[in-house]
This record gives sequence, C-alpha cells and structure tokens, in this order.
Amino acid sequence: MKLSKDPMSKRKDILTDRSDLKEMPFTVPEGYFAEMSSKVLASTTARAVEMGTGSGRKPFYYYAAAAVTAVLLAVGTVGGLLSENGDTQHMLSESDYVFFCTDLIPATAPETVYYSYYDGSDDITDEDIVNYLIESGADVSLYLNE
Amino acid sequence: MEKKWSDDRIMSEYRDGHREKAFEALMEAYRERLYWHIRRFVCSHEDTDDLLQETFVKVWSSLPGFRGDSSLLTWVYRIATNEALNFLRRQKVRGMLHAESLDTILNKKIDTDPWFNGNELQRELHKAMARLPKMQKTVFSLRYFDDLSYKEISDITGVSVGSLKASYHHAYTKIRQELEKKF
Repeated sequence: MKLSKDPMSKRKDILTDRSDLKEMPFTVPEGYFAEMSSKVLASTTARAVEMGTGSGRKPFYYYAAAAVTAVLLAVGTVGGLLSENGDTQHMLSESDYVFFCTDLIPATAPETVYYSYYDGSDDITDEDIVNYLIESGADVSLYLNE
Repeated sequence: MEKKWSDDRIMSEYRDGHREKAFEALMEAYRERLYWHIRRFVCSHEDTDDLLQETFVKVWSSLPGFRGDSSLLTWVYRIATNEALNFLRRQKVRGMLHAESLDTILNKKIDTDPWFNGNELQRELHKAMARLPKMQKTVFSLRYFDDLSYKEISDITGVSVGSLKASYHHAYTKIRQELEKKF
C-alpha cells in the first residue's frame, strides 16, 4: 500500500493499529522476578558484610597501601628522570622524553575517551537536518515520505 | 510487600535508615520495567538477567549519592540503558572477531529464543528494532513501549528533546515501513 503524500489523510499505521505490538512476546521462567530480587539482595548484603568485617578490611588496606607505594615510586622515578638537574637529564633520550611527556588522553582527540550516544564524525547528519526542520516548525513528514 | 511504594516513600525510608527495605521496594517497583527495557536491547533472557542484576547492584552502590536532581525513574532507567548499550558495544567488538555483525547476532538470538511466544509480526518488530542505531533504538524503546515523555527520555539520555523527536520519527517511520511491506 503506497503512502499518501498528504500527512493529514487517514492511512494505515500498523504500529498504532496493532495493539499486540506493544506487548512483549516473551515469557520468563516462573518466579524469576522474585528470585532475581533475592539474589541481588544477597549479593549486596554479602558485599556490605565483607567491607564491614576485619577479614574483609585488612586485605583492602594492604592493597591500598601497596597501590599508593607503587604510585609514589613511579612518580619519584619519572620525576627524577625528568628533572632539570644535569645529573639526570642526560639519562633520557629524546624519544623517551616524548613518551613520558605525552598525554595519555590525546590532546587532539579527547572525545575518544568518552562514550557518546552518537557514532561517527561531527558532520551534519540527516537527523540534525530533520531536528532543525522540526524546531523551526516545518512539516517534515512530506520529506520523509519520499 | 503488598503494594508498591512510591518513589518518595522509597527515598524517605532509605534516608530514615531502612535501607534494605527501601531497596527491596525499589527493585519491586522497577524490576519488570527494566527487565523488558534491557531485553529489547540484548534480545536474550540470560544476558538480560545478568545486566539487570548488575543494574541493581549499581543502583544499590550509588543510592547514598542520589540527590534527587532527577527522578528515581529516570535515574534507574539511565543506569539500565547504559548497561545495555555497553553490553551491545562489547558484543559488537566480539562479533567483529568472528566476522559477524551485531545485527546478525541479535537477529539470531530473536529467531532462536526459547522464551518467544508471540506471532510473526511481533518477531519482525523486534528484529527491526535490533537493526536500529543505538539512539533510535533507545528512544523508540522508551517512547513506544514504555510511553515515557520526551522530557523523561531527555533526562535519561542527556539528549535534547528536539533531537529525540527527530530520532523517534526516523525510527518509527523506518520500522513502520518495514512491517507494512511484509504484512
């Protein structure tokens, strides 16, 4: 059935006419939702207990102390290597210096570390055009029916 | 728990220190809606189950910091939507290693789903939805199935109402034309 170019004419709309389409055509195992809630409650309670007791806390503090020590050592080593002190500067070749001074997040493409709902480039997309037309009050249905 | 608590009551009980009871009420209020929302993205009960549990674990961890800048509804939906979209991103990468597109993976899951109990038109609708880009898929799921307002969807996605309207119009028209060609 061809779609009319007149958006005001009554025409078949399967997504509106068929009410069964809004129902989810899947079942779930019996008792699933109640069980799922119990599992999550048990998991969150177990984690809370682990963090609250001595046996859970001690390893956490050891790991935290080890991590801090590692970071301090790394910073101290790199800082020493990069210092302007003549004793250490000669230790780094030019390529090493570039490596240690390069940002981990590329200055030219910072968006690469962010997850965006939009893929692709910054070019104007069809959606941008339709959005502009809608916001300016134009009737877009004529264009979308071509 | 006989009657579902309102969002205000859930947060009030939580702040009064009845945290587990409040969290239980929150899960009861939202578990089904979030389950079906996630299911429309990932097309499998097992994956949905994992992601739903992860969603609620994150909700539990983040509740202490929830300030009420958004409603509880849009906040939990946002967490669930991000879980689903991140899952699809990982599926897409895994699919590339096996030379299989995400569309193909999701369509296979729908075709072989043992929990499917609908008709062919419903199956084709979900397959058409699986083929949508993620923005269109998100807004179509929230608007067509969950009947959320554009303002609520904007709070969930961080996208402007105008862009959402455009995306929904695209998605709706695309799916409608696909289904009307076949049925």
